[in-house]
Amino acid sequence: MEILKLVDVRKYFGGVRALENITTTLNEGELTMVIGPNGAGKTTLVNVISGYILPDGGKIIYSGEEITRYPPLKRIEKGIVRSFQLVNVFEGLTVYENLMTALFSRMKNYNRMYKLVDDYVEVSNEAENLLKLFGLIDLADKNIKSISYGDRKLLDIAISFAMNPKLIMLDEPTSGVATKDKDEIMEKIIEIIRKTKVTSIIIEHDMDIVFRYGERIIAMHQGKIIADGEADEVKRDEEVKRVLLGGIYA
Amino acid sequence: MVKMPKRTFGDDIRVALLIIIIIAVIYPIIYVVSPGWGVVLGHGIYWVIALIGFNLLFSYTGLLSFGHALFLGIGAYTVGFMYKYLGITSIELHLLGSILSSALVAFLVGFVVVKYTRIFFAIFMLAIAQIFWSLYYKFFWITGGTDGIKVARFSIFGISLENLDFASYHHIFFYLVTGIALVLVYLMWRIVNSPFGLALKAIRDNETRARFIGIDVYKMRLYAFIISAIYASITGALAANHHRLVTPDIAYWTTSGKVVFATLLGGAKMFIGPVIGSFIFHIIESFAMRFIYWQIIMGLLIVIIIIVVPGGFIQLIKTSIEQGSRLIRR
Amino acid sequence: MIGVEEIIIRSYNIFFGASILFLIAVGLNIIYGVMKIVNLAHPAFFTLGCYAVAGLGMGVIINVFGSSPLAPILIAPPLFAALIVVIASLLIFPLFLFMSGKGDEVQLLLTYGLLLIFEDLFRLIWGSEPLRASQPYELAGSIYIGEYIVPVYNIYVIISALFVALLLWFFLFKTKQGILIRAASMDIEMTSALGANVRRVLLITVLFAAFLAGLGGGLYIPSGSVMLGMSVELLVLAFVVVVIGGLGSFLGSLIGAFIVSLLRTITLILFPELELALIYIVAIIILTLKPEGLGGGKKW
Repeated sequence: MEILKLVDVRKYFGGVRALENITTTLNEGELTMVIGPNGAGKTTLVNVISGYILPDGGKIIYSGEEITRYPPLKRIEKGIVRSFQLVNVFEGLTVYENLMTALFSRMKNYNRMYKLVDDYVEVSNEAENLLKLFGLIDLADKNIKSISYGDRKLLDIAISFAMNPKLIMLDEPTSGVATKDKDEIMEKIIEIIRKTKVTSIIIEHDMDIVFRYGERIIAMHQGKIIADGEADEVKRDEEVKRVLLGGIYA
Repeated sequence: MVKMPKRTFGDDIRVALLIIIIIAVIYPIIYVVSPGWGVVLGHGIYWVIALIGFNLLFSYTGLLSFGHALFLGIGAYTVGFMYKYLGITSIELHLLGSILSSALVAFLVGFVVVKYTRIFFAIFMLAIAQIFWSLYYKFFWITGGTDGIKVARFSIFGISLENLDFASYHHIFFYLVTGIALVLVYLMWRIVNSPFGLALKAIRDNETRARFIGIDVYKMRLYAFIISAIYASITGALAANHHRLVTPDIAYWTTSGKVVFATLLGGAKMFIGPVIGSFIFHIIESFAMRFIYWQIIMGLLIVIIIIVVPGGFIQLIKTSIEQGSRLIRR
Repeated sequence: MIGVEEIIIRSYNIFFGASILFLIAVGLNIIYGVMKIVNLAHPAFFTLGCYAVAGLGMGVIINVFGSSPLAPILIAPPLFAALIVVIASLLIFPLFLFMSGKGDEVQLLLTYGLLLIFEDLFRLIWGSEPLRASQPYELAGSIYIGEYIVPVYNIYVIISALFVALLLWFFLFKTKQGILIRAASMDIEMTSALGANVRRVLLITVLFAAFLAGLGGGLYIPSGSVMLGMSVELLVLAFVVVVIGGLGSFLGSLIGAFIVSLLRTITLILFPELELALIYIVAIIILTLKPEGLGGGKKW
């Protein structure tokens, strides 16, 4: 079942063609890895889908609805959620509070003033479940500043998941994480994605990870899609090999 | 079940209320010894309200305003006008009036200002406060100018207090104010620990992310701004009744300075900070008033606090306790 | 009917006001532009310049030069004021060092504290009464334009401000040091990586801004008076100049100063009580339409 359709999406920054002729269709529940060298347009693609920036041309259709010019808030309500490349959490709060904020926001309860946070038992349980799912339960009471970078990344993604996404976009979820932790964190993320069956787009640089977990791969270069399909196919694509993979996989 | 982080004494509502109650208990003794100091304690209590409101904006929402005097002025002049032009002495109506007027002004001002943050917000609030001050000053045929508006003794539950001796009158005022402060402090604590309060903190910590999880940042800031304004205005109204004179001074930039200073003094980062700060500030002010260049001291203290002990008095206490227990262990 | 003469007079006032505002605003912009420090106490430097002349320098200058030769009496006060203010800025320079790189809050609170200190210090040293130093103003005399009297001194101020603006422009855009400072304003890290000593840049910037503010104060005081509370009034005006012109923009300081002075003159004729309110309403409108300000600066 189609969930996201991009038709000839274009974005220019001055003279730079950040996105050109972007046309592709994503199916529900699919795990898509987006790869490409720096400047290929991967983040711009995510920005345009999430509403962070508006495209200069083309259409974005989500579950049959054209969302091309919708503001980010509206897209979030429809279940389009993204995380950022740099960790983007709430520094002064604890891990638990971070998640509670996201949950209240999703439930549109965040402007309630008459009950204490502690009184919302169901929300608290959901936060607890999410924490367990991401393996962060032991850190619940800890302030952000005292936990490791990798854990912060996981929290960042947990916040995105708290929004009940139907389409989640992760921009280099393991960037900045110590090499020895990368695999563990990626495993966790993939496990959760598979469990929740959410459609996902993951921008990733690490080719090992890409080919280990990617079911579908979109390869980008200079704003265009140069390959789009099953992992094995893309792996063997000549242009992809030349542009991205260097000698190792050739 | 996971709960919110364990609250330290600094964020404990019981400590906050206790401080106020203790002051209320020792007040009669203090007053007998020196009525002047009794009056100072009175200042301390109703200023807690304005400071707690200021801190909602400053520490919990991340908006620093140098124009808080604006709303103290609104509260005071609402009382002044109610008495001068409508002959109203009922304290209940005074409070209601100042809540309504400040909410309205806060909505109109906040509507524009809350879009901006940090530097712009701080100075813009200063500018707006100055604009209002200059209006109070210039339209002297309405506001009484620097002579101000004299206000008669307030009436409570419709009962006039004109015939009481000063001491009894002041006692009634003091305990009325204490009651109001206790209620408002408790309400603020609930607000700060509600989902709304959590959203404010999130906005303070990471505005972009807050927006990206669907929080209406602008609206939340506006609500916080209005609540903060109402609190300040209530203090202004109580001050008007305490001094029985409403002059433009209450709206001058140095009053905003006192708000900022007293909050920092107690320790802005904790809930009880402004409560402590209000009393420490007014006690220091009483002593320092004899030294008429007291503003220099205030300015110097602000500079010193920022550089050396940004957590204010509470930080001092915490550090001393830590040092003390370290010594004891040896 | 508004005659040509009245237009000349009004324009004259506008340029005079703009000159003063420019001298204050440009210093604020330089400190923010280069070191990302917002200094709320900057207008206090201007006020200090005024007090230095009115409360101290003018008497000395008159004694030294007597009251007849015009040139030294015109030039000495602003320079004297600038000197005093520069010395003051050196004394508080450690605070600027502390503030550099720290968050907005710290800077705002610290400089607000400075403002409080300055204001009371003025009261301590010079008392609460307004002070004047009108000798240069009176000596310069006046000329007639139609039935209007125009003080010559104000012409001198406008010319001086233009001269300073030209010098500044030349310095910032044509000399090596100036280009360095402008580079620093765009990227202080990069500049320090290129070998420039950040501390020295900060020092030069602070001294520069102080010099300009003091100069402005010394130029202004003969035409008016200095009193308590002036620093905050000027802060409120300087701020709106910077908002309209754009934060960190040299050109913006000129444009903003002119517009604010224009607005002030207009509202003072039409609705004197609402002067400040109207100026701010215009500022908000401009900000809504062009957030970087008219000269192009940082967005708020």
